[in-house]
Amino acid sequence: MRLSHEDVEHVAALARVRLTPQERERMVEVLSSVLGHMEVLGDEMAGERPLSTDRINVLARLREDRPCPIQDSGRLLALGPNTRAGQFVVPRIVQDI
Amino acid sequence: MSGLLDLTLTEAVRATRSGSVSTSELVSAYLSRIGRFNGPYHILLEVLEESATQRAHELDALSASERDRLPLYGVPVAVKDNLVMDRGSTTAGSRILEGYRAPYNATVVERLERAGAIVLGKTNLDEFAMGSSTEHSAYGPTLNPWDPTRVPGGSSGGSAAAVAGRLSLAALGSDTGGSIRQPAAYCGVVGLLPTYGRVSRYGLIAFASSLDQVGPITRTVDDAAVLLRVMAGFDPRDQTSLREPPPDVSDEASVRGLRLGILSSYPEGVDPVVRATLDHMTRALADAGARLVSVDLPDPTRALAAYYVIAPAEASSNLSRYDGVRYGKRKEAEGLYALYDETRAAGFGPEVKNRIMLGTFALSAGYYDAYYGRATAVRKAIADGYDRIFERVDAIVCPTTPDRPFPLGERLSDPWRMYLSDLYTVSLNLAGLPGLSVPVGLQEGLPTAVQVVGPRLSEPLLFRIGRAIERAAAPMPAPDLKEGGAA
Repeated sequence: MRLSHEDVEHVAALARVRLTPQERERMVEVLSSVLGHMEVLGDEMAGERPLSTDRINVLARLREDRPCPIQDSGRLLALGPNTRAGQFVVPRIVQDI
Repeated sequence: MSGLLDLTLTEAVRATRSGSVSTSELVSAYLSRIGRFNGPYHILLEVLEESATQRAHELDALSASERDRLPLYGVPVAVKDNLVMDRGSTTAGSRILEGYRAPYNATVVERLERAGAIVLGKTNLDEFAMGSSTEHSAYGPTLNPWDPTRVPGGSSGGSAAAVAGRLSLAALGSDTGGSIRQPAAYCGVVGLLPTYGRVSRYGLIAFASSLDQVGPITRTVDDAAVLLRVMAGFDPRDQTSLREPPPDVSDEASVRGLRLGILSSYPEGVDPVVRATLDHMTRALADAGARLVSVDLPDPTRALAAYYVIAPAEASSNLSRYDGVRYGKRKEAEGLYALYDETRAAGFGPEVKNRIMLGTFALSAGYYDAYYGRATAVRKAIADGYDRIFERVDAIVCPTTPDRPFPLGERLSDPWRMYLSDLYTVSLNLAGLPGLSVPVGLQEGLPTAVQVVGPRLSEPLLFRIGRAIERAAAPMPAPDLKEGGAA
């Protein structure tokens, strides 16, 4: 499958990655080439039961629901690139009316 | 080279426990070698000299009975820089985590240290473990200790090069599609992908959670067995951790009576040296009493395609957490979405962007069934295929990689060619099976290796076959590192 510039731009928006024009150019070639190799996945696999529903999830289990110690919030906040008054700072997303 | 650096893990523990060598002497010998060769070969991203030296002094002060209780007493280890530690920085080879200091230890690190190991530093890797050469590290590539013009493999290239180059006695790696076994093969050391769920992933920076597994990289099979015993076991902090006790360590090395699967055919492009090495080794195992049975692996080409849908799909979700808000680098911008977009554009390297884009595409409306749906169905067919093979054989002996260490830069512009290096490794991650790469000597100055694959939880059997391979193989010498690296 060959992707267009518009396809790449759409996927970049979904992935929350801004691409430069050069990166977009490169990505059209790289993704189209890699997707070309995916054709071996084959039509006969369409509708087959995927692995994730049985074999992998059988390993997953929930732990007992009981309180346990958590990281000190001050240490976690200290990792933030921009914090104020015990909170992470982000650009305003709700405008004043 | 100092004789201290030639001790295997088992020999080093014996020497430090008996007091014939102090842990401080051992650590100091490794730190001094790191000081000489880490610059040119770029193996460790951070050296934890102060904490390692201090820990060695503390261990030296223990009584004989206290030492005997520590299975890794005084063992210097290097840790791949996608495993978090409560000291030093953890970058995962990415600019987006430059300067990140984790507030806790990964379970595997905690277990090794509790057993007496001493962490020397954090090893280089492809950014977020996405790569097969270590060239995708944002901090520059690691050079292969056997030939500094070639790659050490990846993504655990720093860990494999550290063990091969005697910059550490053992190391931790992570393997999502071959990232322990392929660099181990390229550097001439032993690398184990444990059964999925055998080793806790708590504290491993997630790449593709249904495939990621932490494992040991060592000089000998025995050393890998000792490390796995310490690392393995249930951890309530990892939802996929198996309630299985750690495997016993034995010294069994007989393959007499074992049914070993060997490949009846190879896809195009497999290096003739790889085939010849494997043929030679399987004949040696037959001479040692194993029965060889021809098998066809579940289609490796299809496995590779499925892997390069599933792993990027999971990565695209896992890496959505890097948004410049809670930790890591941030690029200020007008508006929240612009903050995300700019931070990620500046923080991620080209290969990580490739994979995030590929994964996002495969999960997007209109393409999900055609790519992700089919890939997960192929994944099930591969797991079923291995089940059928293991009804006929006890284990499979096959190549670790279809190729040998390639020149730096050779594959950077052709991602699929880079991905082909994982041809024989990815299917084990897809099926959750263990695999052991064992070096079998040098050909034309470069290491060669074979891979042993077994059913789930068959690590003791893999070690047994691995020891037989070690005995039949030419002994691995130490590489002659150059102070000028590739210069």
